[in-house]
This record gives sequence, structure tokens and C-alpha cells, in this order.
Amino acid sequence: MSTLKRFFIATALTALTACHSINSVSLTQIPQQRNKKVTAEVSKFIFLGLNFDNDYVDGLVGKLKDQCAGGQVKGILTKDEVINYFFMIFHTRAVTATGYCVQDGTRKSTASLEPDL
Amino acid sequence: MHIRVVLFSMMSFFLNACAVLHHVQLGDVDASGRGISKKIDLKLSETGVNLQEAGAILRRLGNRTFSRQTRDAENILGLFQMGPRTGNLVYNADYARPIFELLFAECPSGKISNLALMRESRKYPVVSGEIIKVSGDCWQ
Repeated sequence: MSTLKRFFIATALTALTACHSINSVSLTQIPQQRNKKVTAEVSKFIFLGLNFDNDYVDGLVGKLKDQCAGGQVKGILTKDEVINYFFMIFHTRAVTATGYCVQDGTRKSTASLEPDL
Repeated sequence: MHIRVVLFSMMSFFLNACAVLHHVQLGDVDASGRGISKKIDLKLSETGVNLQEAGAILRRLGNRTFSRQTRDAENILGLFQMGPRTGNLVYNADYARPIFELLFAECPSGKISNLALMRESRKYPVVSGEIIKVSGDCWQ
């Protein structure tokens, strides 16, 4: 294999390998009942950093709700990631939420601002 | 006509703010669907200033002495602005404080679920909008 070919292959491999980085992570209280795991992801492909809104994140709660009808999703791990492609000309912003669907039968607000008495 | 098209394109490009997402956080999600809920959407924002961009513009406009003075001022300001942060500097550090009051005003029952918190910036040349968005469901 000629040196030029090797160089092109090496360059292509470097360019096509995506660099992954985490922007932020958060976690809520993990429940005792962890039978059903639910995951939802929203993402946006961005070219040259030109992004004019972050509305893609809004659908995340709805996606989690759809997978846990009648229950509550607890222990949610939210990851905000950046995946850079091709010398950072293109990148994808992805927000992933993973949690456990808990079907406890009693409705209780999960983030009440009032303490339980 | 050609110059007008170019100018119009450039203006449209610069007046469109680039949205930068810094942080996303979800609270526990209640999908039980029992009871009546009302959607809450809050937005708090403050104007941020990019001192480096402002300094670069001032250096271009002034002479060599002014340029040096601007750089010195930038360096001195830089000494007082250390530590991790998201977005540009704001001159009102308390803009995020009323979140609780605003949530209570929107949802007097205080029973809020499906909280989603987003920290983002809208970047314009030199200035930016530093935004905190909170959405959730208020249970009656």
C-alpha cells in the first residue's frame, strides 16, 4: 500500500471518528422498584454551529410519559452530550434521559414544593 | 441590487441569535394522568456581555495606545472573573432568584411535577441573552 493511500485512510478514519463529550449530567432519587427501565432521547444535528433554537429538548418529558402510562418515572439520569463529526464542522447535540417506571397505584405529585405532613 | 442582497443576507445572519444549550435537568415524571394539571412555562433572562468581543472591537477602533489600554483593562477585569460559568457575564447575579416565587405564583397548590430545567444562551455579537427556562405540570 502506497504512503499516500495510507495517509488518506488515516485522515478519513480520523475525520469520520466522532468525538464524544458530556456537557451536563443530573440524577433524581432512585426508586426501590426498578423493574422497568425507560429511555428517551432527543437530538439535533447542527452544521457549523448554526443553531437557532433548543426546542428539540421539549419533547423529552413527553417521550418518557409515553413509555410509562399510568405510572411515574423516577431515578432519571439526564445526560446532555455533544458528538462532534468531521473536524467539528458538524455536530449533534443529544439529550438522553433514562429512568425507572414505577407503577405504585397512588397518585402523588413527585416534586411538590410543600413538605409531606 | 447585488450589494443589497448581500447586506440583507448578512443582517439576517447576524440578527438571528445562535442558541447554545448549557444544561438540561429533568425532575421525576408523573405520567399517572389522574387529576387536573396545568402546564407551567417560566423564563428568566438577563443580558450578558462578552468582554473579549467588546475589547476586540474597541482595539480595532482606537489607536495603538488605546488598544494597549483596552487590553490592560481586559486583563484586570479578567483577574476578578475566575471560576466555572456558563455563558457570558451578567451584571445582575440575582436574576435567577425569583424562580420559587414565580413557580408559586403560577401554581399556588405547590404540587408540581414533570419539572424540566434548561439553561441556555442566545448569542448576538458582543451581547447575549442568558436564559433559564423552567417547565412543568401543576396539579390542582
